[in-house]
Amino acid sequence: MAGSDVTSIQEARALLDTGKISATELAQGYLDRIKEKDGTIHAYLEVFDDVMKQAKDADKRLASGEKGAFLGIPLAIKDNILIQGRTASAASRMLENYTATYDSTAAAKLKESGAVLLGRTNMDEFAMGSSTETSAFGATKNPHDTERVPGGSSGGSAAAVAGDMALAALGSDTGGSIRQPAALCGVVGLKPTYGSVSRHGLMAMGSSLDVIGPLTRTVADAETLFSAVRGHDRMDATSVPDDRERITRKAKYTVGVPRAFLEKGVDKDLLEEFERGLDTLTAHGVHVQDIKLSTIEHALATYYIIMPAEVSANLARFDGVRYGLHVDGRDRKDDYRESRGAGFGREVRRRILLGTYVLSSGYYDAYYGKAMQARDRIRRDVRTAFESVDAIAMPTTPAPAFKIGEKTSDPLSMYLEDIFTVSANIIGIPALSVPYGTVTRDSKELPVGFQLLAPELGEETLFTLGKKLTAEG
Amino acid sequence: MISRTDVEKLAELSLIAVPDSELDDVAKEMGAILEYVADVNKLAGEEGEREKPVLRNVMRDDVVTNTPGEYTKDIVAQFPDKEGDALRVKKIL
Repeated sequence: MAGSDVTSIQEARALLDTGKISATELAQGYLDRIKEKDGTIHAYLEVFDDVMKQAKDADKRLASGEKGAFLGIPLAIKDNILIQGRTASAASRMLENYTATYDSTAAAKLKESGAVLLGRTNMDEFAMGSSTETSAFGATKNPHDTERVPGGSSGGSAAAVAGDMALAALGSDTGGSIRQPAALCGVVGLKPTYGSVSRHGLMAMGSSLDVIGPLTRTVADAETLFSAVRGHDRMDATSVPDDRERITRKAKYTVGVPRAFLEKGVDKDLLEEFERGLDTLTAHGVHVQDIKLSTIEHALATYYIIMPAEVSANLARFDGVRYGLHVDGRDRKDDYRESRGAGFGREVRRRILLGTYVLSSGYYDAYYGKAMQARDRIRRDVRTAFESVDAIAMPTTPAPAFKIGEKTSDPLSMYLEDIFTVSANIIGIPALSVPYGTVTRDSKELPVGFQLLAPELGEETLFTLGKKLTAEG
Repeated sequence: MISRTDVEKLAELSLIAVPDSELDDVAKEMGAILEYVADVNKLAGEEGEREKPVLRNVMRDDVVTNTPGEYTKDIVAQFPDKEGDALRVKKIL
């Protein structure tokens, strides 16, 4: 049987466990499709040369009777998640020739479980962008319309899954970088609770915001992949202890919709699809009600202060001294300037400068200090909302995939892509984007995402509600 | 709101060479972004108060988890300039 008929991890698992398909056959199917399609899509920065060896190893383990949720499952990994001995470039010239010296905890868990790692996926440089256009190695195309972006920053991961070039993928989400590309490519994307997946070995962008999460074909797959990578890790002091109580499944759910926030700036037909999604939830016995969340309209501004501040601190480590690009200057200090100037692309440089500005003496109180107060206010406001609802629903993005080049000259318009996604990162709560409906642009059907947010450790709520939207249960 | 000189100053503070040809554009873009993010003032408390931090320090025992030299070769291989296993840098003084 050919791998292309396989539509979910669950299905592949059943086929592998019953011997109807081997891990090598499955992997070969994906390699064939990558060869056929990725010249156009450019989801991958590198397809690993040992995929078949990994698959053979998985077949041996399967033959010996070993069981495991990911044994023999072909996955793609975003290029900012370290895999020992392999290049990890974060789609930047700075790290073009950098080889990871250790495994990220997430990659280590997947390797141990016998997953077949297909390759590393394209992204916006250092995860800064919403389109993969800031990648130093060329943009990824949206499989639904190759004139359009796949979203970002995990755009390569989303396009790989949407283009059937990986069964599932890992991405990272700092302000929407899993959910927005998932929505634009028509796949499922989960931004887990902050700290629920270890950040050890994930290149730091905004340390109080970053989290690794899955991009998959189904909600059940997102659940499976999340279970495989989550858990406390002593190497990440911000990771959530395993004994913390998680929100469990309920018989009846209430979902809140912050309607006032959706009134402007959202495409009309996209909003209609969102309303249809709400109707589907209602039809499944979910109570849908309007809620007031006056603070979240300020979440994007808050985010675009906190994030660059953290970026400017985190990216200070790239100085051309110990690893990464080195450009020789007049003296030691000039080496730093030249290496960073040549290694970082324009968007990365802009964010570092912005972060330096909002943290500088004289402006710190006016920007960073105020943003941290706003963060408290937003957190309090959303927590209050969760006293009366189990989840909050919003579209994932205000519009479907935009054209390549459309927003590159106006950074602010690109930043507005994150308007509905940043709140979850600012507060640290989990959020799920599921594909729900399509809208037509230039006679092409483009997918749109329905987003659900739950309180901390409320992933189960998201999976349960998400499955109602995707007709998985 | 942000001048060309400001950008030069920030570039110096953050040790990034920004080409002269980009300075005006960056100033313009940053100006627009800063104008937008000033929106946080609508949310910030008037007295400048913050909630008590929900954060606390997480400590762990300082134990060696690798064998001596386990990563040396790989890490040295990343050095832009080296002498044996030592990282060579420009003179500091």
